Amino acid sequence: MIENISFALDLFLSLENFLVIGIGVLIGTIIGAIPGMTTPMGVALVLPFTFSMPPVTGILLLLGVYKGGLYGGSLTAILIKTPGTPAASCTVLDGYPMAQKGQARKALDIALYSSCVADLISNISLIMFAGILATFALRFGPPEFFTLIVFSLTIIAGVAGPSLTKGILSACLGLMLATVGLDLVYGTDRFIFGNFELMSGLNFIPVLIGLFALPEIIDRSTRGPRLGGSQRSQLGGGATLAEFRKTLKSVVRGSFIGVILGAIPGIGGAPAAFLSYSEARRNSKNKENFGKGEPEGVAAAEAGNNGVAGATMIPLLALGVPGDVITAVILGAFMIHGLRPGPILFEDNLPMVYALFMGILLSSFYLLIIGKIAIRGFSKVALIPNRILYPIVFVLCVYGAYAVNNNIFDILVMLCMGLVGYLMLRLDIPVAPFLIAFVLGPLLEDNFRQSLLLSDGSLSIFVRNMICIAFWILTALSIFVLVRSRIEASRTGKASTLTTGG
Amino acid sequence: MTNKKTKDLITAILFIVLGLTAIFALIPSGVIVPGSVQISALSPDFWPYTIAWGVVISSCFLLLETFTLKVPEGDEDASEDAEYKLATLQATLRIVILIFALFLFYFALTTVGIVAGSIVLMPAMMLYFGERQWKYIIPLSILIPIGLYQFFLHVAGIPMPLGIFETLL
Repeated sequence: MIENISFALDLFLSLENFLVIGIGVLIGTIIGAIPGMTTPMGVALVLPFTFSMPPVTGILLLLGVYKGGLYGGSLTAILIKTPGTPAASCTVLDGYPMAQKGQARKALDIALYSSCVADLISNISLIMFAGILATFALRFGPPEFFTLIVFSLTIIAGVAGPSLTKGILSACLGLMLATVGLDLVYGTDRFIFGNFELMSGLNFIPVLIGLFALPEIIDRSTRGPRLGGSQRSQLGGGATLAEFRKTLKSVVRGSFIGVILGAIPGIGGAPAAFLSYSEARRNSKNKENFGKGEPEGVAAAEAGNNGVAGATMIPLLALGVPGDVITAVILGAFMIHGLRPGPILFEDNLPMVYALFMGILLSSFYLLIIGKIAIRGFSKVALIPNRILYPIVFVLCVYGAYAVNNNIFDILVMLCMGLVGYLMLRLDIPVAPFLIAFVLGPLLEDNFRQSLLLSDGSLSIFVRNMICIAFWILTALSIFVLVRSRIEASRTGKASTLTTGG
Repeated sequence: MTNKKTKDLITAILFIVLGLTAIFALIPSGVIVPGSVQISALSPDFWPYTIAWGVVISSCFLLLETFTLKVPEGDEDASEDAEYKLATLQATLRIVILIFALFLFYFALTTVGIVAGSIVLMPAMMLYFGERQWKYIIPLSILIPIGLYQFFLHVAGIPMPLGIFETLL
């Protein structure tokens, strides 16, 4: 053991490694903050630079981009209501109202501190529980995934807007849109109507940008120009340690939610962020402030989102199974260097695994430093008057939507989604369930159909073990609690404390 | 009937219509079902039908909610610039103009490209939103589209379409 750690230190302690982690986090933060530039895109862009690097250095660079990207998504989510990642759409719920109230700096600080703590907890969990969690995740087959996604969508539908029913309708719309393209099993057309651009389905980036950024710009048309000055005269002060300490319980809880969901391949940060947010609200003394600019809401969302970062490495390192698109790219980097993650990696290259752990731990501290610098730069965006900011945001959105596939059609998708988003805004329908359902839709349908293939069409497969049953019970409980809360709200005339924006 | 109740009612009716349109028109005409499907739940149209029925049933619940439960009233417009809200007709006209301009911009992109299109759109949008200081409008409208073009070209390796101006940049 000590010998392995000594070898690992030899591998890790070099100026090159210390530099690349910082550079990676910086690149990731910038990419995450630009709408249309995604973290997977950032990791993929950096990948070619790692070919000539030693394996540990190259992989640490990619991990830095990954962690920076997860945090960077929250910057624009808070400042201009344009989440850089689907998971950051949960940060919008309280982050943007805080920025509107002149507390942009505080929201950004809370997001950063929560991200760093969650990242650290996730990294420590990766080191301590990689084996145990990987074994648990290995027990997940298609029916377990299906029930888990159903549970996640219920939570998202329930907590993201003023009513569960509207949340479900929004999620259904997202699921329906996700079916556009070729059928997964038979390869036949679904809602293509002769347009070949739709054959591969709709990309989630133009959908994300359209749903979140454009409605805000269109809605601004309903208001006349202000009489001079900027709309937010101040950014407000940063968060104090005491303020952050108040949110610590939610941060720790959210981090563990992120760790558990992150260890399950394919789930990603968005359900973790929403589940963490929902739990924070359920346990908070300030339930009624959630959705109106509650720092604890920002903290919980970011903790859930970043708690996933280290944990997604668990199935990758322990089983060789990538947890999401980004870890799939990182798996590619391992393979380029002639390494195959999985149990054999732990037997043959343990010092290298330890060296990666050391680098991953260091990345949390880099995130804090680079995040602080990024906040200073990016927070000034909040001071730009809307009459100048919105045209800039729109042009940025156009470039971002095009850049995803080098396709002008994606700009049309973004504009159409903007109209849908605006209509949803006017009707008080939350857009987050739409987006998350759109992202998880193919996974949900795929697991549903795989389950039925396994069981020859018998639905009993969805209650085949305790994991499935537990998720069904949790789903039923969530619906029961949300419905009861709505009925109570009707009796008292006060908005439900379990939902946002009510 | 309160504003929120009206919104819920409109939402419910809109989604019922949407769900039924999907069930009776969009899915039968838009989803191709092969003849070899043995398990009906594996058919390509099973999932869209399930979702569409989910939409109809949830909308009916929303309709029921609208008539049986009281809607807790919050602030109708709690946003910071609520005081600047325009009258309905004027606001609607402005929205229609903006949406028309954005789609016009999209259709012009194939000819003039993203950069030139953005250089024209940005000042128009700034003026539309109330900015009157040309010292901000002109430099920002030129520098941002060109700067973004250079960023995507050199950093991300993505060339933006330039349309008829392909030879200039």
